[in-house]
Amino acid sequence: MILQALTKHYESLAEIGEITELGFSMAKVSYGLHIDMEGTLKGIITLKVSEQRGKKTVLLPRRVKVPEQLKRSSGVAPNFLCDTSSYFLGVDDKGKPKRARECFESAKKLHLNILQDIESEEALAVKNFFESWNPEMAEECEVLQGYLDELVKEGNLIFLIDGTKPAQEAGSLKEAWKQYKKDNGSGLLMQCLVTGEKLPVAKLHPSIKGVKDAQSSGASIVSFNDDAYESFGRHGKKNGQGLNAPVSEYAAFAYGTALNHLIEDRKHMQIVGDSTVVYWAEKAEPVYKDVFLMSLEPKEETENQLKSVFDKVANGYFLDFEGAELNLAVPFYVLGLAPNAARLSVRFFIRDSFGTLLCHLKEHYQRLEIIRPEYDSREYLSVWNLLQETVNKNSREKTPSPVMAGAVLRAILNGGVYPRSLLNAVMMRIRADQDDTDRRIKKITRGRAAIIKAYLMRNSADQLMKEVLTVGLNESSKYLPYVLGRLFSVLEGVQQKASGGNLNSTIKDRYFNSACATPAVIFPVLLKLYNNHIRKVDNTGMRIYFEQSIGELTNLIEMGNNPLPKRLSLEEQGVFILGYYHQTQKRFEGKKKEEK
Amino acid sequence: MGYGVRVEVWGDYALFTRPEMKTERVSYDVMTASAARGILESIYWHPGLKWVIDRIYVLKEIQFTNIRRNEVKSKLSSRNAHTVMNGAKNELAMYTSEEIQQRASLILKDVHYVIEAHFELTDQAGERDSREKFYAIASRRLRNGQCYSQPYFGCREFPVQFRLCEAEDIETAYSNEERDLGFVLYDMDYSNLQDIQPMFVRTVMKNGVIDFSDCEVFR
Repeated sequence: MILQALTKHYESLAEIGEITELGFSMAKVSYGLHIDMEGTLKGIITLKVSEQRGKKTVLLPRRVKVPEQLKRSSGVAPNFLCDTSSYFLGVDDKGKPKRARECFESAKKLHLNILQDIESEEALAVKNFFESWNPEMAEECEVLQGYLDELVKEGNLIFLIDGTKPAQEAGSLKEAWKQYKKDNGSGLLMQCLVTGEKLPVAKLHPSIKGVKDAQSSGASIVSFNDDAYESFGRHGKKNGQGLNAPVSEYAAFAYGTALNHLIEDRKHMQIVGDSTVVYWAEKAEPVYKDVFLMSLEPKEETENQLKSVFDKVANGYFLDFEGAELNLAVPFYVLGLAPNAARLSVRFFIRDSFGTLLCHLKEHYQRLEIIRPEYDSREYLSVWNLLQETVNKNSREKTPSPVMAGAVLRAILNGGVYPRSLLNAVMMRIRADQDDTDRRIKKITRGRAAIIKAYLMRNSADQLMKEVLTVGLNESSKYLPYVLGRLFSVLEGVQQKASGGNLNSTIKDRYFNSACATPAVIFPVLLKLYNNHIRKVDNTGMRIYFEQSIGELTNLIEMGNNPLPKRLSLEEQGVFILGYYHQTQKRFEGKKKEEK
Repeated sequence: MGYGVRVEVWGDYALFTRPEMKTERVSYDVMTASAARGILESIYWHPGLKWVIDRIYVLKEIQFTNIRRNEVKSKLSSRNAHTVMNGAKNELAMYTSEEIQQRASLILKDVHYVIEAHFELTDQAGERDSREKFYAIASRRLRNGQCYSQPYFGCREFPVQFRLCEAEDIETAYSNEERDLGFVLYDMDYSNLQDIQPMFVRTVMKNGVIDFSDCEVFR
């Protein structure tokens, strides 16, 4: 499923020439060793490129296509045509000259071995270099002067023949490497789980680099590094760990390359909670990813574009976007990866047609739609915005709960019910936060009200509840929690008017949480306070307006034996908050009109 | 055949681990044939019979969820156990607090299947054993909800609830869809106990039904 999809993606990327061929990979290279035909070191060429990082410009190693590199831990294992100074020059700054020497010798052996029968100019140059270079000369070597400190510290080196031709690009060396790879595979034929053919099995799987919080050298999706993961005598040290999961060398290379390629594309990679999320269409055209990115993380600038995309998605099989025609039936994949120990775990994997995923996103945004204050000009709340509503703004780690974040994204893309933890988290924040203008904390925000609305719309079947899940205020609803929320908002308005707006703590600060959870206990207190407040409102018109509003609202509460509920369930509390939010927005709206 | 049974099985969670992702486990989309066989065997098994899975019906939509569990990273060594059995004074224990490791799993949620299977007699069947007898025992046990051990969905943590399915038509969650599920583990080949080999089948779910009765098995 996951590996198959990635392998397929690799193949379509290869078709359009976007990706490295079998046996090669991308590596970060800092310097080139300029050698001549005789293999003499003539100079050092800096290959670093400058890149804008925020305000600073930094020099970073260049990404170069090189022969596939080994996974190295502590042992000595040389790479072909691209390696560090220990292997190519026999010097490093690790303070172990003996080891560096050993590294050089092993690299020498490897290169001479691979190139033994190759007589091309480039091969001769490399062979000559290894035969003539003496690590002990490094300190005195004129060419290295001034560079040595930098060279030994970091990064990979490659050979530049005559200072211009990278050795790994030469046809004869490429062929030699491919032949070597072929001869040195595991040689063990097994049914490949991905392609279904009998092929040599990969012993180790490729490292995936760039996943947030995972080891920077890369982590594997498929690995069996302790014996508890092994089965039926497929012991790592004896047969190669890969036998536990018969994946061919080709498939392992293909999925690893494709996944690394996806993660490298920083623009189309999202961090949701602790997961690194990548997505791709089976067809490798990047425009699919652009449209998806726009729908997943809408920006104010792209709102109109997004709106037109959503309009078109509902009807038809094709979508035209900036001149490109998108097929809505194309399979689209979303993969969320999270680090766990030295490995990667799959948080979620979603496969659906491109059109269906867009439809689910559209429906999600429709559910989130709620009346918003004047200053809030954003039409769509992105997933990131949404999750930030569940985060404690005072805490140092402003990250939402990872499991919840994954579940929310999964629910959105599948069109499924939202996880209960989302409602819990939002309600908890509402309970815990107090309005604080200095820190820009608000108890009830547009985002929080929107989440409650969307959650209840998708997850609840209660008809009475449904009628209040509207964008704006529903004045006719008699649903009690909603009416109580509205009532609270009006009572707060009265207090503000009565005090002229300079209070250290309002009834919202003091009573909101308990009014929300246990109305029967708090509302009598609030109504008593109201009687005190209303007397202080000196504007007669205003006073009559408030009295009318309160009267209307109390009329909506159907009097019986027990008019006020003792406690409200979490969902009902959500409705209470929604009622409060709707009514408060209405209040501000009224105020604006007044001023005009 | 004639002596096929249909067993309805359901549960809250399931984890049919993919071999390539068994460290940080990821489940297959649907139940594997060997998991189905395991369920039937824990309900009724006898050396004289061998269960063969014919079809699996997927009654509920495929849904995933995540969990993390504390597990250990090592196995007890069998060699060590042998030496202790033979009188050596080695320590025979694993200290879970030292070996602990947290592992994530992507598991299935709210699963519901119908397993259609039949059995074949093996050469270990006795003189008084017959298909009729085995069939009668199996259906009685299924009706009564009896089992030798609690059947489970891929991991012991996810118990199976089961009953005999007597409905004629089975409504699946994917009535108009064909889905390629790729290569799925079919079973293990135990013929050479020194080298147990996995067997795979190319699985396609047609209208919510996976048919194993006529499939090519790769090993």
